[in-house]
Order: sequence, then structure tokens, then C-alpha cells
Amino acid sequence: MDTYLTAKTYLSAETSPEQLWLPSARDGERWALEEFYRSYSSQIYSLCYRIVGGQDDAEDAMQAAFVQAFKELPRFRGDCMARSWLYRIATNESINLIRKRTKCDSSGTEYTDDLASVPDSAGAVQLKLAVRSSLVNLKPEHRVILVLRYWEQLNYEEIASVLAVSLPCVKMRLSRARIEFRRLYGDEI
Amino acid sequence: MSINRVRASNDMEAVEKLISDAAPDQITINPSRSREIFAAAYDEAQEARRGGETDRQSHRLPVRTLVPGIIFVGACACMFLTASVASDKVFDNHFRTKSASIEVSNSSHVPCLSKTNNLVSDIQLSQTSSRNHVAAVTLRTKNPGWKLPPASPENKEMATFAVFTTVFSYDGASGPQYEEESHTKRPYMYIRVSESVDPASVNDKTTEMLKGTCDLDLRGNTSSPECSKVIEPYSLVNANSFQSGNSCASPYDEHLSANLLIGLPTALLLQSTADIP
Repeated sequence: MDTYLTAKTYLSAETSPEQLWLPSARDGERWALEEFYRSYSSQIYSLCYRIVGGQDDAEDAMQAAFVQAFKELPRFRGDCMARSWLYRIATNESINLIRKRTKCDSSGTEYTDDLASVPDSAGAVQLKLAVRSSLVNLKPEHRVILVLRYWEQLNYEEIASVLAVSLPCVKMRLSRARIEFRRLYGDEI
Repeated sequence: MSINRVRASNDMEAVEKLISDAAPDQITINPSRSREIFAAAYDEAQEARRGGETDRQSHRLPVRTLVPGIIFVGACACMFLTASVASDKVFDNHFRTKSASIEVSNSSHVPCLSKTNNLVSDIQLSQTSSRNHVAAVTLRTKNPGWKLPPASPENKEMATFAVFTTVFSYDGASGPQYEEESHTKRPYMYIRVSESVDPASVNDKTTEMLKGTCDLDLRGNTSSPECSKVIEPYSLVNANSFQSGNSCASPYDEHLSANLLIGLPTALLLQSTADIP
């Protein structure tokens, strides 16, 4: 009977793949952590790249995020989705990296990796560069919230969960970020 | 996208579209690099876990270390309690024998209290109990019917190193009122006596003892600006200082009040924290 129930639970359509490997991942089992990594690595890499603006930095931020996640998994209670939780870690690591880079080096080489392969007109490329350059010059918190909203297409609730802030705070911060962006973009153009 | 459109204050949609359109294309990570990152992250996390376990183990104290520690702590506690009992007596004796320190504050909304009005002629600490940190205050006045409100029960909560300040209010018309409470980090009991009364109601022939209690709360909290004027411990001021330095043009025309600051020795307060429940 127990076996039957277990099998039934295992085969249930409601059982997400995450539930299969998450308990083992909490215990630090390699195969489960690999599953965890495989499930989210491309999303996290993309997120990190969009926040930090460079491939090398994105890889650094992603690695730091997964180290942190692997360490913290035993304490992850599942209050929120694993994706939101991981996004939060990756966002924080990316912000840390931006701050570190801002202190050491202010060369603006961000967000240029994809432009060469895009069949856009020169004007379109110039416009994208201006927008991205404005984003780079935003405060990290503002850059992050614009990236989450407009590039990662998260809704307000998801952003609130990722940033661990309230919904009104998300709206307020987004509004301020847009205002600051508009000002910087005006200067850029 | 026109910059003018973006600059238009209400055209947030333009800004949103501008940012959305500039999103980088999906950047994929090199698979071999991805494997390297996983391996590095896994190793680092495992190392951290192992380090954490080692740390936890190294922090476990063997029984032979704990037992002397417990004995030592117990001995300290006994000494501390003994000292606190002794300090209770000092505390009680102090308040029974010393006269109160009184000074009139000159803060703007508490204009003055002149002895000429004879509203409050004396103040003294009549009894104290350091066990529950209650000091009773006796006010001698010539206005009948004044009574101090009882100490509020919420004042019983004690913490560290500050004195609870209680503000009493007296209204000759409507009777005594408990006006407000505040806290100060200063080791002084702070009493504000405010009075709004028709001078005709003051009966010079009647003297009544007013008794009340003030809790001494040893919790540090916000310091009220009204507590800005303090007196040093043991620098006792005679009750007659009511008449000092105050120049009320017309004492009965306005809300008449006084701040009575009763100095309490810091050292005694620190000792008395041993009684905190």
C-alpha cells in the first residue's frame, strides 16, 4: 500500500520536477544540485548578464549566486518559489558586483555582446546603445528594477518577492527609476 | 523614439517601450564554461558546509569545561543578589533621609512656578521601595482636592539604566488628570505639575498632603526636550527654589505649570537594577 501511494505520488501530474530533487538538493547531493543548476542556470545567467551588462561579470555573478544558493538550500523553507528565491540571490550578487566594479573600474563596456550579431540598422543600434548606457549609469537599485520589469518581464508581485520589498515600494522605486532613466537618457541623446 | 516624447512628463509608456525594445537578446552561456561554473560552485559550497560543521564541532564544549563555568556563574549570581539586597537598603534609606531635589524648569511652555502663588509649597519623597522601583512623592500644596494619579501599571516593565519619567497633570477645575508619559535616559525622576486654576479657588488656610507614586523605569528611551534641564545627583536644591529665577508677568493668566526634577543618584539606580524582574 505504501509503495502504491508513493508511486502514485511520484507519478502524480501535480508533482513538479522541483519536488523530486529539492529534498536531495537540500542534503547536498550532487545529482540533485546538478538538476537544480540545470533547471535555472540559463535563466540566472541571462538575469545576471542583464543586470551587470557583461559576459565575464555575468559568469562571476552567476557562480557567486549558485555558491550562495547551494550553501543556503538547507535553510530554504519553500515559502516562495525556488525561482524567486534564486532570482533574489542572483540579483543581490549582481548588485554587489556592480558596486565592486564601480569602485574599481568605471569603463562603460556593458551590454555590447549581442549588438554585433543583431541585424539592426545603425540608428536602431545607436538607440539601443543610448538606452543601455543610460541604464548603466543608473543607481544599481534602479537598474535592477528596470531590468526585472522590462527585460525579465516580471510583474509587480514577482519583483516584490525577488527584491523582498513591499508592493508599494516596488511601484515607488520603479517610478523613481523611470524618472532617473528619462533624465539620463535625455543627457545621452 | 523621439527624445521629446520620452521627456514628456506623462509619457511613461514611451519610456517603458524604449527600455523594453533595448533588451539584450538571450545570451547563452558556453556549455563547457557552465560545467566549470557548476563544479566550482559545488566545490566551494561543499567546502563551506564542511567548514561550518567543523566550526560547530569545535564550538561544542565538553562537560568538564561546562561544570566549572556553571559553578562560576552561580557564584557570581549569588554575590550579585547579596549585593542587591544590600543596595535595597541603601536605596530605601537614601529616599527616606534625603530631601528631594527640586528645580524649576524654564522651558518655554512651562513658564514658571512662583512660590508667591503658593500652589505648591513643598515636595518630598515620603516613601520608597526599591523592590518594585516605586518612589512615592508627596507634594504639599494649598490647593485642596489635588491628588496625584496612581502609577500606571504599564510602567512596571523594567529594563536597563534609565529612569522612567512620569508626567502628572493637575487641573483645578476638572480634577487631576494623568496627562502623558515619557521616558528619558537620564537618571532622574521627572514630574511635571501643571495647573490651570482660578486664584480664587486657592485656599490659603488649607494645606493638603498629596501623595502619589512614580515608577522608576530603568529602560532607556527617547529623551523629552522637557527633560533638558537636569540637576546633578546629590546636588540637592531646596524646595524653596520654586521661587528662583522665574518671572511670570501674570502667573494666573495662563496655564501655570512647573517641572520638578528630582535627582536620583546614578550609582543607586545602577545598583537597583538587580531587582528588575
